[in-house]
Amino acid sequence: MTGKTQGLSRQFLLTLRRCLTVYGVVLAVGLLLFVPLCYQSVMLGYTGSSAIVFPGINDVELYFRPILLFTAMAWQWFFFDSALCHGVSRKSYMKATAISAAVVPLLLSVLYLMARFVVIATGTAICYEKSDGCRITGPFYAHLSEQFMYAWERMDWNRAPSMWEAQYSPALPAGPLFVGLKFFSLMLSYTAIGALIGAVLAWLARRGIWAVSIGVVVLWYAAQQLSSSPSMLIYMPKMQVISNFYELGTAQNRLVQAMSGRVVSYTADGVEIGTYVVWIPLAESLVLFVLCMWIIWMFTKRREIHPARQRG
Amino acid sequence: MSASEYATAAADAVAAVKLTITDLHKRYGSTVALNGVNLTLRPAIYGLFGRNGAGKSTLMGIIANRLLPGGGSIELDGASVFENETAQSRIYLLNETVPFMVGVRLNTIFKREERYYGDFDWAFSARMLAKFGIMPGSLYGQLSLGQRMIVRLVAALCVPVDVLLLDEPVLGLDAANRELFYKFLLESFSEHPRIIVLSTHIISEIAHVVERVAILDQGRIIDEFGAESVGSRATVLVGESDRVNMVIASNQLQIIAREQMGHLVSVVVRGQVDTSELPSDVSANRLGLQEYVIRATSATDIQKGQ
Amino acid sequence: MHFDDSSGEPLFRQVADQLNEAIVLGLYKEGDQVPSTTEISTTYRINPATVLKGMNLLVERGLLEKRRGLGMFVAPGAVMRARDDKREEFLSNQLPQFIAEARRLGFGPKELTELIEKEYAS
Repeated sequence: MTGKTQGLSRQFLLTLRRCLTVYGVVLAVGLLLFVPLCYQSVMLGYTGSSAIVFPGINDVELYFRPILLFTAMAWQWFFFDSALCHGVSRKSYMKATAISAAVVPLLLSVLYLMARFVVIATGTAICYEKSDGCRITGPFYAHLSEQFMYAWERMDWNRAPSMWEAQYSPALPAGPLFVGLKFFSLMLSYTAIGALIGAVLAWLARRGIWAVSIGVVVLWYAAQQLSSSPSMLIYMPKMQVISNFYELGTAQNRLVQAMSGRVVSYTADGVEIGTYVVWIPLAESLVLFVLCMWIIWMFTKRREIHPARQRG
Repeated sequence: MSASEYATAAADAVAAVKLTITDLHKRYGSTVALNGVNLTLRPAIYGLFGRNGAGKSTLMGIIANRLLPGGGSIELDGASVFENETAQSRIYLLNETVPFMVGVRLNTIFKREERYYGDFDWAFSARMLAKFGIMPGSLYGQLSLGQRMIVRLVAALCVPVDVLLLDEPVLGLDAANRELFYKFLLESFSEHPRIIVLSTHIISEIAHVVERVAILDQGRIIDEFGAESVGSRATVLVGESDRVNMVIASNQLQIIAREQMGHLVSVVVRGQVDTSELPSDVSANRLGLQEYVIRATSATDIQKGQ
Repeated sequence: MHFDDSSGEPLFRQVADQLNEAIVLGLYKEGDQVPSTTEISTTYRINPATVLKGMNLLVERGLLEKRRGLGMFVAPGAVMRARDDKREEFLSNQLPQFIAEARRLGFGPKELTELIEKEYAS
């Protein structure tokens, strides 16, 4: 009774199943709460530009980012002991972590695209006009991944925001794909970061209650700082003109451009053209994912479960 | 196969299970927890004894892949147990780590064990819970500390593993429950002979339960023997200091421990002493298991070899 | 049955002695099945290997016999043999000890014989 099926051990499969279940349960609860929130926003008429004023109500990204982050963190911190105490090796646990951290964002992105399609087809919230399919007149008023709908479009940003309209690019039929990819890259990044935070906190917890408390406080502070600083605006939803981040032409601005996939170029007569390039954030998130997983493995392969030192 | 051939084959199969620990080292920062442990275990009930901090929990933790070794090897039937899931599915460790959340039902706990270890003796678990007076449908969190320990003991006896490690299994159990546990342990062992290692400080209680004894002191195995033959492991000589020293010198006895009260001295020496050759003012006595373990491990406080 | 750690007698021998005693007393008649290793082990909380060793000792002495697949039974003629064993033990251990103690206390053989007869009469 070795429990091996084609090289996949019973323990690995059980742990993977457990990890996916944890994510599944949390996301199911999240979705259950999300739907009424959306409905509420629709009923109250928060559509289009109003969505800027009330972010997060039908902002999928902002809603699911922390959910994925905290679930990944919780898995890394609290479910290791249970795995190892049931004969699971550190390697299998790590494999389950990595697979889940990739698959769950992927599935969520697919679900998101499907839901988005349904929402557009039924003509709720997002759409302004239903002619010619549903075009978002103000794509730049939607959340970040939605802006990638018009990837490969070249927008003249010298014009006033209210006059921004997308011209259909030949790539438009693939627009939703870009949206999905951007959404996936965001979710993947947050999951990877969450898992890394979980691994670090678990390591600190091993070192004592003081270490982990300080760690939590430091992380909280860092999160606060990041969310208010311009760098965080890379991941913030809603329209953000690139020129709002530092001055054009500076290194910081170029960094922001590079990291968010919003690229500025200039026409011959100095007109600023903005383009959304999806493969940049996608590549970044994949690199971030690999890096995080590698660091987590460094922690995990040295992780031990110690019996309590004090016996009551 | 006839019944007798079957029995022989089963005995052979059981006898084939072997856990070999070779030169195992482990340190925590500057503290050495295990300092070259060598031990071979075969199907039997072992008592693992030693002082607090001798390394018993560490040893069991490493066997169960919860702690990482600093050096040396542990092999189960020839294959290393480290990070080896096939081997670890045959090993079960019970200590105070509770690998589940307290709000679960007992059935959930047992079902999970069944999933990870392949099987679970439900009938036996039901019988044990009944005898211990615990409702099978209870929530783990609603039970008293002693009852929680019992539930985890029940689970440990019902999983089909070849190596069962019990680290202080009777902590928090009253005397009656402890007796009940020993009975079930023996019953389970009789039905399914396997390697069972029991680590406890209540030595006298399990002196008859264990078949073999291993004593761990300061990170090393200082003695390993059949529990029955503890009487021949050491002898305590009592008498006037000079007389005793003379006896020790003339018989070239190895001293394990020594206690002095004025002129009277009490020395524990290794092995048996021929009482017929003793002078009449020096007495020799056997040691019981608990006494022997205490003396053999207390020697770290007292100057050895004097 | 009662088992003692401090008597100095190996545990398996104690098991054998207790079973021996039970046979002598007639608690187990010839042809009766004695409790299994597991039963004795769990009832008295003794390791089954020890119990088995004790029982095997009695098998050697011809008091018990193993019936494959069924268990341990009291062998024919066991009661007689057990009583003989006990008599042997009495003669080689208790009697010499008794005599030695009597001698130590100053009893002569004739005085002792009288006392013994008086004790038998009562």
